[in-house]
Amino acid sequence: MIDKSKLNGATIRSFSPWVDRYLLSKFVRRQVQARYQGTVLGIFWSLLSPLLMLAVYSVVFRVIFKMRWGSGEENNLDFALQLFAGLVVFNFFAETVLRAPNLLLEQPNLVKKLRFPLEILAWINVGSSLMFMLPGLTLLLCCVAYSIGIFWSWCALPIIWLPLVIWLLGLSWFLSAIGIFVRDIGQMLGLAVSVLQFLSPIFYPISALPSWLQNWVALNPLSEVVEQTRAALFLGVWPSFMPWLMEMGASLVMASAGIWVFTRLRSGFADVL
Amino acid sequence: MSSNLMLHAHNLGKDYFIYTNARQRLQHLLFGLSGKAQVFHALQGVSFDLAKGDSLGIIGQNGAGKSTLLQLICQTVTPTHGSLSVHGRIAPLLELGAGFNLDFTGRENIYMNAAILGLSEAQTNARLQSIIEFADIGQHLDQPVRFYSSGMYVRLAFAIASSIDPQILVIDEAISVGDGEFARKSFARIQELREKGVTLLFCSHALYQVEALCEKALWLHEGQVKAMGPAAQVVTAYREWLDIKTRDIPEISASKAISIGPSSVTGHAQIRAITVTCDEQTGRTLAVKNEHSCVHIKVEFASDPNVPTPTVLVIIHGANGMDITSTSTLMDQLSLTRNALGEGCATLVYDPCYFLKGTCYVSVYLMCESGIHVYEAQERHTRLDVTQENLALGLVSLPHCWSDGPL
Repeated sequence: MIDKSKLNGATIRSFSPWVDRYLLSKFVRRQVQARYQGTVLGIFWSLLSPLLMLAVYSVVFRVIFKMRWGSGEENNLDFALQLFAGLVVFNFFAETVLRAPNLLLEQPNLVKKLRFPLEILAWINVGSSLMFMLPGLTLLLCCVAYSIGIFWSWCALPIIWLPLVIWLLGLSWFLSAIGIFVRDIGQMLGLAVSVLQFLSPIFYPISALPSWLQNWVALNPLSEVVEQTRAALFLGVWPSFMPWLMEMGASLVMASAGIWVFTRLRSGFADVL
Repeated sequence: MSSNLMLHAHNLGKDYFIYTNARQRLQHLLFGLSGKAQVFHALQGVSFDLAKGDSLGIIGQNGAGKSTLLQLICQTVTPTHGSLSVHGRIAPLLELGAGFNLDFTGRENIYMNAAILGLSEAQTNARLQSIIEFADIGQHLDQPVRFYSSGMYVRLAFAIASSIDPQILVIDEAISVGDGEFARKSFARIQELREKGVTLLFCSHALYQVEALCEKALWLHEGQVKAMGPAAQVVTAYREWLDIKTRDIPEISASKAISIGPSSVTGHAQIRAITVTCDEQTGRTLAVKNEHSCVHIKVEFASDPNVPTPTVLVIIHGANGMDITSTSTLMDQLSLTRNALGEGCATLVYDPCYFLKGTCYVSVYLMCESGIHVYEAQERHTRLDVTQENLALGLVSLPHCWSDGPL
């Protein structure tokens, strides 16, 4: 029997998605289906809602506040696409984080009545968020291809997002385990996410900030990802290695911390739910 | 360790810590700081080995720790003490349909649930037809489970859970739901699995089911093993014990229902006071000397003068709950006298008292004139700690005489 209260090779293996890949794929599919079950527009909702938000933000920031992205010539579509690129990444992040504390809370049966590899709930969470991101991303790529062109650097997008995915996995393990014991987490996160939306370079490029503030915003793990995504999308710039490596390192630390907390608290899950 | 060994539980125990707040619990789990948490022993010192094909029934009252034990075996709950090793695939039927998603159709839930229970897609496909046949829910299969009747729901869930070719089947009263026909079918399925050599753990209040399905039985009482052995023996012992308890249970609830207040005894009767005296000492715990002490049990009661005079029953229990002796005013044909308000008093005297060394308890029941209905019960009201001078064995010494040679 695996002693799941200690961190060892067997535990680490159980946190990788490979062993339960079939279960994982079934659950991700179920999450996606469940969201649109019974709706008329189905998967189009994951296109419609970001588009609607994009329209609102564009009108507010561009038309009312007369914001400009860069110094050169730019039309309304260019501006909207800059916003859209940021929003796609941010929505992926927000969706994953906001769902995380409820992963175990909403499924007491999986914890108490069944033998279920609870570790994969974090993978399911991140996996289904990625699925929800796909339609918006596809639309974004189509628009960029139409208005600017296609770049080889698009191939780097998965690499740019890898640290974010790992970071979110760690956060999901952490939040789902803590969320059972501290129910305030959900409320706190709602607040934190709204704040973070404005502290991340979603509605502005990081270069628009005064330099002392730039350093602080750069601490936000989202900043680097959003900026690199934009560079790869619009300018054909490949991500630079060192910042990416640092991101990756930080994410791995987060993931390890998440696994540690999850394994420590695991024995108490069934007692509380 | 023999290769046939499927389950090995050694001194298995589960404590629940009762915390005052969530933060304390979190600290305990994360950093091992125990603080001032109260401990509740849900289960203590359970040991057993089950080989391939063994079947163990688990019996006991509500709250005895049965479900905790099953959860430990299914490894949904982590043991606090002892160790457990499991060799083989477990099908946990702790709650049927626990993994169902209500918005999905029966067919989708078959795949989902089977995946949770450990089947691959190909394995599920191979079993799909037999699952559908066994569940027998017709065209509802492609409707959302939300619209299923509870019977259909349970049938589908059992069909899936019993189709995964488990090596160990753990059933927590799951099949008591459902109609008679389905119950028969599921028992047939369980028997079929047993003949294939499945190890069965079965927990039920239906004792005849335990006897019918299991070779061995484990009787849990307040988190501890009270007996373990051949199912027939353990079930018989439990039934005997239960007979005493069930005689008591309505009495306890009756006493709660009746005790409206000291002034209102309309249509009823109630105990006003119980005074137990031993050699001039009065109290709830008394020291008693075998064949020397004199014990008085005085029961004061009040009753509605319009109801027939109540009777008083006194039972002396041993520490293990076994009855040592009992007597009542009805058995001894003593009719009590009451004043105009319906108040009266009965005193039972054991002089000397013949209890042997150990602890026993005095329970008092105020009953109707025919000794069937219980007005009020005061169980284990007084504790008697008995000491003796000689080395006699047993529960009581009886008045006796010896003669040297034939009488």
